Parts: sequence; C-alpha cells; structure tokens
Amino acid sequence: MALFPTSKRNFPSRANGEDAFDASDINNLNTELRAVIDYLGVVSKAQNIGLNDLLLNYRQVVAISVTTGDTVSCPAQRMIIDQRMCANTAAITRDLTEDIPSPSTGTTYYVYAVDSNVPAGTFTIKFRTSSANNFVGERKIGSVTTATTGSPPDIVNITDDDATTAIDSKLIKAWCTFNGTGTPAYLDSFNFSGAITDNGVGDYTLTIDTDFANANYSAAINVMGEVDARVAVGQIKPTILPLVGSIRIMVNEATAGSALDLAWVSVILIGDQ
Amino acid sequence: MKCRVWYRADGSVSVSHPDMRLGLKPKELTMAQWAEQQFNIVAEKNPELANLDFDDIEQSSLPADKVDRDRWRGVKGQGVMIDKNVILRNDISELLDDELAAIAPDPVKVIKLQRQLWHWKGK
Repeated sequence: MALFPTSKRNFPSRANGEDAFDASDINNLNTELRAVIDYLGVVSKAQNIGLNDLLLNYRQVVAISVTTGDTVSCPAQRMIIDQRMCANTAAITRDLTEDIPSPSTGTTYYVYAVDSNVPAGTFTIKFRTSSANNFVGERKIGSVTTATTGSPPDIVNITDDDATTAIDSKLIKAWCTFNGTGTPAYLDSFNFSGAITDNGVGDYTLTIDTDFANANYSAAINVMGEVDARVAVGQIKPTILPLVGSIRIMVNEATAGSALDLAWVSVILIGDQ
Repeated sequence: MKCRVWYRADGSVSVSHPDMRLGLKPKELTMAQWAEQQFNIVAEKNPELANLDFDDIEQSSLPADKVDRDRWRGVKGQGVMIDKNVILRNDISELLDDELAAIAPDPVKVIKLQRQLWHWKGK
C-alpha cells in the first residue's frame, strides 16, 4: 500500500502548517485528514477533510506511541512510523510504543494513520526526546479528536501534559486573565493556577504551574482601564526579577503612577521550559 | 475560605488567596487541604515569602474592603488591621495637589513635596 508518494516525503516544515501542502497533495494521498506537527510542535490541519491519514512531521524524535481514548476500539487501524527516505520504517498498532533506533538529528519522521473508517475518538501522539542516548521523558505533542466516523473536526489540538520537557520555545507557555479587585481571582488561565498573592494595591504575585527553564522568559502584561478612563499600565514589579516559578506584577495609573486594582489584568509568558 | 497572610518585615502584609475554580481541586483533597497545598506552592516558588511568618485566616477576617489596602498591617497571631498612620505616596501627591491649588502656593513646600514623590520608594 503506497501510503505516501516518495516525491511528497519532503513536505516543508512550517510553523503555521497551513500552507505546507495543497489540495492536490491531499488528493494524491487519498486521505481525508492530515495533521502536521513539525519539530516546533505546531499542529495544524490542511483542509477540511476527514481523519484517515494523519501525518506528523517533526524532528529529533526517537519514539512514538499512539493511544486511543478509553472508549475507542479500532484494532484494525494502524499507525506507521516512517523515517524520511525510508531509512527506517516501522508499523505500530494502537496502544503500542515503537522506538526508532539510532535517530538522526535533523531527520524528518512521518507518522501515518492508515486504513479507512477511523472511528470517533481521541488519538494521542507522544514522542520521546533523547539525551546522550537516554530517554529523558515521554511527551504528548498533539491529539486529534474525531467527532464521528468519517466526520472528524477541523481542529487538531496541541496538548502539553508532560512537565519534563518543552515542545517549543515559541509557544505561549502560560497565560491568564484575572480580576484584581476585591479578592483576586483568575477569570481564565493556562499554566497559571493556585493562589494569587495580593501584595498591596495593584501588586500581585502569580504562581506558574510548570516552571520555566530559566527566568529570562518574556512577559506581556496588559490591563483594562477604569471606568473613568484613566490610562493604566501593567508591568513587572520594579526591582523584582521574575522567577522560574512565579512573577510579581504591578498595575499603575500611567500618568500619576498610582497603583490600581483593576478588574481585568492579563499576563502572557513565553520562554523555555 | 482561608487565605494565607504573610507578615513582611516592614509590617505590611501579603495575602495569598486560593484558586477555587471548579474542576481544579484534586478529588482526594478537601477544600482546606487544597488551599493549603496552594499556599505551600506559593512559598516554594517565592523565596521572598518563604521565610516570613504567616497565618492562615478566614478571608472574612480581612478588612471589609481594599480602600486602605496599602495601610494593612499585621503581626503573626494578631490578624490584619488598618494603620491610618501609614503615609502613602498618594497622601503626598494629594498634599502637593492641594498646595498647587492654593491661591499662593508655597514654592519651598511644593519643591519638598515633589522631592518626596520623586524619591518615594514605598507605596
């Protein structure tokens, strides 16, 4: 079974993935859905097609495991791990892990889900990173959720549920919005949870769930001003350097510099984890 | 729900409020245990708080509003109170505004107040 034309094995690896290939590529592959996860861990879906052929494109991957959701049973389905130029090819069935021997740095590997009639369910893709020939962790890098047989959704989710390593330094690693008035409380968040510490008017310490690798991460802080239209700004607390596991921020009136408690404060952190 | 009050060396207090959004609490923990776990993580990840005295008190024990938040002061075991004697940056700013609004502002007083604001290091 020709899973993938040889001439198409060198799909460009793009961060947004949207233009990595065109409709003819998809038709040639006779697939219904393709998801691309490049080495940055960015997942995208090319077109509104069904889940039949799942392509993962990434680098420095040494192992892949594919598991289905608890409620999914599709023993006939398979996943194929294929190193570029067919140097190493291995087929795995669901719920098994296949290690690629002697992985090469910079090599592109592909994963294909083959056969038709992929049923509803969540397909989880994991890989391991290596260091000095030792596995250092297993990480889920993406998942595809199908809605119904033959009618999967358009969205491929990036998941990040393993704290041991990072997918990509370009991804947002933590964000939140919180209400700083009264008892401070998150409105929504990712990788921020736990207690918000109120250090005074407009002065908050936020705790990061999964620490950054170092304290040199980038922080963007924004606020929504008050009803009287005074301009307010958010900033890292002066003289208090961010820490790998927390950050202290200030909200001030822009002109007078007075501290303010505001009802909508947003924080985005990006950096290495 | 309890919060953790950290007593800083200058008498001011920081207050950690637990995240009680639905779905975050591990099933095996009670709400109180969940809150305490969060407070411990705050201490673990914030060295500036880790060595401070603290009390876990009911949030309802805190002053009713935050109008005087920067005047909150506390000592371990005695809770949080409002110290009206604390002078804040805004107080100096208001004095300066008042002086400037006077019919005949005292230039020396204005300069002194401006210097105070310029070099202000507290809240």
